[in-house]
Amino acid sequence: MSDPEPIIPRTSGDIALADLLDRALHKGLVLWGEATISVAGVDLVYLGLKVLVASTETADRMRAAAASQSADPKVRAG
Amino acid sequence: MLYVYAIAADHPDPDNAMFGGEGIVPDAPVRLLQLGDLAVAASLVSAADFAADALRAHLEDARWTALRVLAHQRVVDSLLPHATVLPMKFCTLFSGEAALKQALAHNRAALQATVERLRGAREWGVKLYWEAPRNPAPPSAGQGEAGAGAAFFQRKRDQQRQRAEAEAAVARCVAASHRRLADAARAAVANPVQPPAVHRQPGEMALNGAYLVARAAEPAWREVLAELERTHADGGIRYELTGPWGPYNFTGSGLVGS
Repeated sequence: MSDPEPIIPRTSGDIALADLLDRALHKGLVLWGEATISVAGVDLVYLGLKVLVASTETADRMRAAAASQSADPKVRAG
Repeated sequence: MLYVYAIAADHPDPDNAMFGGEGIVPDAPVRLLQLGDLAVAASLVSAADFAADALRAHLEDARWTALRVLAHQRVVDSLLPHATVLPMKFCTLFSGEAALKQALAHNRAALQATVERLRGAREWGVKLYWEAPRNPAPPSAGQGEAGAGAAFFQRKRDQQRQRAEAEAAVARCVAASHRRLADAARAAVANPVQPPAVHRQPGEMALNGAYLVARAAEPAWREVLAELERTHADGGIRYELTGPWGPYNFTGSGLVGS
């Protein structure tokens, strides 16, 4: 028997967000009732992609800011 | 209005359930409503934010939406160690407790069947990435111009053939991996693979699987994954395990009330 511990632990950041959106937006229990108000009429796939694009843009901006800081230590982000 | 995160069964002490942290919005504490055998994790939220038109406007704001999805997930996660959890789709809202009770009553049998299916098991995700083999080094020079042209086309044909062979091998590996992981699980689903812009990992995603695994079967299931990794490590194949997740993939399709 080999070690049953997690081979790769749970990821974080963009990857986990993509996986989470895959689940919470596209899957999950849908319980309709007479007076249910839900996100009917909202395209959840489109919504998920928008969230991802926004989060990667934020990540890219942060990476770019970090890179420009390390390239020139005198420059400080406002 | 009631924002509903999850339905929970088998909660040991629903009367005394305390949730740390905030709910779907910072000022909405999470409550566990005991409705018959089932407990419902929910928050009272304002119609100013969550009535259909207001919600649609909020959802246009990707940052707002991302924070709300994470908050939904936090509540589902906090329940997982204590109960059999049926996570709701993001933004499931009821006008109030009466409407929620009515929906639960109408779907009682289906909900109970779902609880039975999920009891004692957790959802795990396995993704498989592969990287195509590098193009072979060009043959040594020393041929005439015509020979070089022929060699160029031969090289192209070889590359195409190698790529096709590699793709066929990956397709076989994906099918076998999913089958073996599914056989060791209670239920399994292969979801659409994420495009590179979404997964942001080296290589191509070739499997995006979700597996419902009984806790008692987890060591054996993990061993299946470890064996797959050992077997395919040299073939440019990489597996990524995530979880445990709330069993979003295994709550069944929608339940229709009244």
